[in-house]
Amino acid sequence: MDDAIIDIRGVGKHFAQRRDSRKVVLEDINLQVHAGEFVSLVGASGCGKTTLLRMIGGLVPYEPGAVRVNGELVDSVPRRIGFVFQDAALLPWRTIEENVAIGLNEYRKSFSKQEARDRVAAQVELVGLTEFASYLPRQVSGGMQQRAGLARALVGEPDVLLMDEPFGALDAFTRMRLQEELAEIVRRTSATTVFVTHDVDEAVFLSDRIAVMSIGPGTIREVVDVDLPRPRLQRQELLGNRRASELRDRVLELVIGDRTVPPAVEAAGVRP
Amino acid sequence: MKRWGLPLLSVVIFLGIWQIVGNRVDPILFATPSAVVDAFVAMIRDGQLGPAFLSAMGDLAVGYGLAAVVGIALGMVVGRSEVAERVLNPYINFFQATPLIALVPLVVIWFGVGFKARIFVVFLFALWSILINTATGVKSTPRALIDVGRVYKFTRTQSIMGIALPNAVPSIFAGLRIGLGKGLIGMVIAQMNISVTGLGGLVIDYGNAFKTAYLLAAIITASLVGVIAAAGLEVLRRVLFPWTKSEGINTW
Ligand SMILES: Nc1ncnc2c1ncn2[C@@H]1O[C@H](COP(=O)(O)OP(=O)(O)OP(=O)(O)O)[C@@H](O)[C@H]1O
Ligand SMILES: [Mg+2]
Repeated sequence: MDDAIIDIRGVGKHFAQRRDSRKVVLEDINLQVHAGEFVSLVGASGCGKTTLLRMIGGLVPYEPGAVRVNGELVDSVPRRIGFVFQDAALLPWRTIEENVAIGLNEYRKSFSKQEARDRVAAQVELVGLTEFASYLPRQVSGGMQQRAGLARALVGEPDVLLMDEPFGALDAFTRMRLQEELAEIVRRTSATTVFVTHDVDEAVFLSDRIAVMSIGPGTIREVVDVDLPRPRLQRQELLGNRRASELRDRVLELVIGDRTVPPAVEAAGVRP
Repeated sequence: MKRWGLPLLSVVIFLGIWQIVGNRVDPILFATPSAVVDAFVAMIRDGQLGPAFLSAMGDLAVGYGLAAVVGIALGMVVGRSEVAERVLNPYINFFQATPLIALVPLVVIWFGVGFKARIFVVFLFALWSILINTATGVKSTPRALIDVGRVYKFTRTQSIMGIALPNAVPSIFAGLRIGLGKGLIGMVIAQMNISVTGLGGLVIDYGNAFKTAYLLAAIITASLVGVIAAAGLEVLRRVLFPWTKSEGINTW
């Protein structure tokens, strides 16, 4: 299809190792993500989810294949994207508010100072951090840091939102709250989203489609359509939902069924 | 009370024992604390100690200030450019390995025996730790923060001034602290061996004259210079970079 906002065709990735050996991390990846769609990437640790996401974000080169974002070939960081990092990646020397303002850096010439301030304040409010706007990152909790990372990604109203296990490091309750907040935010924005996660329930709750990856080398094994009605705003709506548990089981089966490489070996980074 | 009580008690007991033992031995070998205090007061009264103290502070401030500026600037360059690192590494390694005190005669040949030679020694002693720590700090910018700069389209200047440099600040201050200790040594060496002036000059003169109480008073004043400079550095860090954590080590 041609209206894909993110269009990945025949993409591969290898890392050079020693002189003549190389490690193939991704092979023949094909994925199209359409305007406003929310697609999750799940798969065993080390299957290349982060690498694929960073490729879409223009943060790692790839070869062979083609990645297009908004119709343009990705050879550097595309315009108008937001990226949410696993560990929030806030600048420790800037306040929460100043960190959020970084998301406007790309557009700084098209806003007056006052407009920029208002937008940042509104975004900070949206993620519930107004009270902590002038705090330093280390003075707020992990959940709040992650909210600030999200606000930084959203404040520029990006076309494409890339998230790498944004809630992976949080406790279960905070994670659920943030999933619900994200569902609400995603409903309101039109951003096209790719979301990496280990949490299958989270993927089912948030996604339109779930791409299950397999390892050794990483490929997309199957893309599962999440045909649950929207809006989905609360995790508990899906409790006892038969279709939701079917989807969840299906995805889990695909992930767990993937035993091409023993996880222990992969975790140590040793490959034949 | 808990924090200060025990160290204070320890010092008081130490001084008491020193006083008692000192009273029983030859004052040339070992002056008592009260004799040192008397010497201290006498040296302030006759106008020796004030100027010597200021001269020590001045040499340290100028030489160390230069080392800080040059060390941070060169450290940034070495940390960011692999070419610069390869070009400068042999010299950095040479000066790291060389006992710098052996270079003092050379400094005299180049700069004579005055102020210039002294600040150059301080500079030379302090420079390397500052440079190396700055380079290390700049090089160790976490990948996630580099990614942040790229995703949000930081300009080159923004990523240096807004990410690499602030990220290096804790490491730069570690280098500044180590460099200060070395600069202090350089300053006293320069004042003892190059010009025989200031506090180093007093140490030499009173040492040669076997005036132990005066000698000790001069040494203690030199420690005071170190304490004041270290405290100043710590205040600077807290005021300018409140987001950095205090190191767990005692900087005094
Ligand atoms: N710079 C690199 N050099 C060499 N190998 C790399 C590099 N970056 C990633 N890899 C390898 O690529 C593979 C995929 O890594 P990636 O981080 O994308 O996996 P992931 O699916 O995100 O894993 P996780 O779920 O643990 O985050 C791993 O085997 C990893 O060791
Ligand atoms: Mg990952």
